[in-house]
Amino acid sequence: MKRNHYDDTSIIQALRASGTVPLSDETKKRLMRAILLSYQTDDGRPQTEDRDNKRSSFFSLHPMIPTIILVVLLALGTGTALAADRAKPGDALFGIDQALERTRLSFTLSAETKAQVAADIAEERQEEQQELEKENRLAALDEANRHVDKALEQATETLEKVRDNVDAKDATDRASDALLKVEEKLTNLQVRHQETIAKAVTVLTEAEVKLYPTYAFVKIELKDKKSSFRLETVDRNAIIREIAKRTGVAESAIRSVVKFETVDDEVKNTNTTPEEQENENVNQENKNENTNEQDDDTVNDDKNVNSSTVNQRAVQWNIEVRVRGQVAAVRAEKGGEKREWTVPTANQNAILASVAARTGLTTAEITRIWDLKAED
Amino acid sequence: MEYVEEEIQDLVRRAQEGDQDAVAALFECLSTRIYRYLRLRVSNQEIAEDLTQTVFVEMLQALKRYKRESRTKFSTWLFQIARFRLIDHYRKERPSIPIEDVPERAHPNLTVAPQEIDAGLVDKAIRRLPEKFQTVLHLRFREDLDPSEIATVLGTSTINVRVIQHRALKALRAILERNEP
Repeated sequence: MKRNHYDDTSIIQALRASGTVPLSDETKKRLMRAILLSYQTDDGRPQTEDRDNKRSSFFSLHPMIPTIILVVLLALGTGTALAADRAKPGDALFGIDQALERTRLSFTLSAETKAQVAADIAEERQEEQQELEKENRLAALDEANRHVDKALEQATETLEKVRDNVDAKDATDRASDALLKVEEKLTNLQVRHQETIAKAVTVLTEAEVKLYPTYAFVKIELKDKKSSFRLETVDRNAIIREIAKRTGVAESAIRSVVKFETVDDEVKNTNTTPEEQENENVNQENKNENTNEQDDDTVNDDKNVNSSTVNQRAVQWNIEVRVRGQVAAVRAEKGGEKREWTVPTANQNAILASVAARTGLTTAEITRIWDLKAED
Repeated sequence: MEYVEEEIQDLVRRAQEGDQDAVAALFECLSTRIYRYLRLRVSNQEIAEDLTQTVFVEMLQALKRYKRESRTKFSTWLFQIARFRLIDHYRKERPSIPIEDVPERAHPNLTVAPQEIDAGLVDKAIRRLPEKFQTVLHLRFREDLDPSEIATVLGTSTINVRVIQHRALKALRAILERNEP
C-alpha cells in the first residue's frame, strides 16, 4: 500500500488553506434574530443591570430555566418569528415583534434603506392601531397610539440623520429621490395619525369625574349626547378604562380631556341620591369655581387631578405654535429642555393632540398656556 | 468589515450598557469565526448553527461579567465559551477519540519528498483527532492565535499548548500518511 510523506510545513500550509466554511448573510440574520429573541425581555427592551440581578437570583434557584427558554426558542424558530410579526400592542409576542424590527434595522447598512425601514415600521405600528380599532380592542388602543407616536418620532429622527449625511456627501439623485419618497410617506403617516387622535378627541368633547371617598360619578358628552353614571371605584386608571369601555374612545384621548375633581362627601346631604348630590355639587362647583382653582392644592395626584395641580404642571411649560399654511411648527420648552417639531396640519385638534402626546399635558392645560398664532 | 481589537472592546463596552446595535456588530464581526470553529468539528451545518447561537446567547448572558485581562482579545473569551459548548455537545453525541487510538506514523524514516496536501483531506483528517488537538491546530493555524491566547482558551499553560501542538501535528501527519481520513 502506497504511503505518502508529509512534513510539518506542508501540513501547516494545508491547515491554513483548509477549513473554509462560509456563513451566509441569510443564516447570520436568522441566528442574530434568534439570539436577540432570547436577549429580549417581555416588553421588548434589553435586560438592564437590575433585571439581570433579579433574574440571576431567580435562575440560581432554577438553573435549568435559561436552558429551557433557549430550547423552546430554538424549537419554535421561524414559527415564533412569524407569529411575532403579526403581533399587535397588547399581544404577548409584541415585544418580540419589536426586537425583530430592531434587528432588521441593525442589519440595514444603506442609510436610505435605514430610513425606509424605519418608515415601514411606523406604518406597521399604524396598521396595528387600526386593526385594534376594528377588533374593538379598546384597552390596547392607548398603548398602540403611543407606539405609533414613538415609531413616527424615531423614523423622523432617522430620516433627518440620513438627510444630513446625504447632503454632506453631495448625494446622488437616486439617494435623494429615495429620501423624498420616505419623507412623503412619513408626512402621510403623521397626518393620518394626528387625524386619528384628533377624531377621538373631537368625538369625546367632555368627561368630568367627581371623586367621592368611595365612588366616582362620571359625566361624559359624546357627539353631543350627554350621559352620566356612577362607578364603585376611585382609581383613576380604572375609571378611564371604564369610560373607554363604555364609549369606545381610546384611553389616550380620554386622558387628554378628562377632568377629575375630588369631592368631600360629608358636607353633602346624605339622604340624596348620587345624581342629586351631583347636581348640587355642580351648582356648588359653579359658585366656587374660581376659589377652587387657587385653594384646592392639597389633593395629591400624578396626572389629571385638580386645577391647581394642573396649573402648577402646565406653567412649567412654554409652548409656542406657529401655523403657516397647512403646517404647524411647535416649540415646547420645559426647564431648559427644548423640543421642536412640525405637525403637517392646521387642524387645531390635531395640533393639540400632537402637543399632548409629546408633553403629557391635557388639551385643557395646553390651551390655557400655549401661544398659538397663524402666520401668513 | 474587519475590526481591530480596540474597536471590538469598544463594542463590548457598549453592548454591556445594553446597546443592541453594538451586540449586532459584535455578532457581525465574530460569528463567522465562531461558526467556522464549530462547523469543522461537528457533523452537520444545523448543529454548528445551533451551537453558534448558544455561544452568542451565553456571551450576552455573561457579558456584564466580562472584564478584559491585560491585553487578552475578546475573541479568546468567546472561543473559550465555544469550546465548552462543543465539549458539551461531544459528551451528548459521542466520545472524542482518545490520543492512544491515533496510530503513530508507521515508517518514520521514510525518505520520500514532501507532497502537497489536499485541503479537503486535512479537513477530514483533523476531525479524527481529539478535541483538544483540533482546537489547538485550528486556533493556532487558522485563527492565528498566540500560544498564550490558546492557553487561555484551554485553561492551561503556554508550554502545554506548545506540547499539544507538537503532538497534534504528529498525529495529523500519521493519519494523512496512512491516507485514511
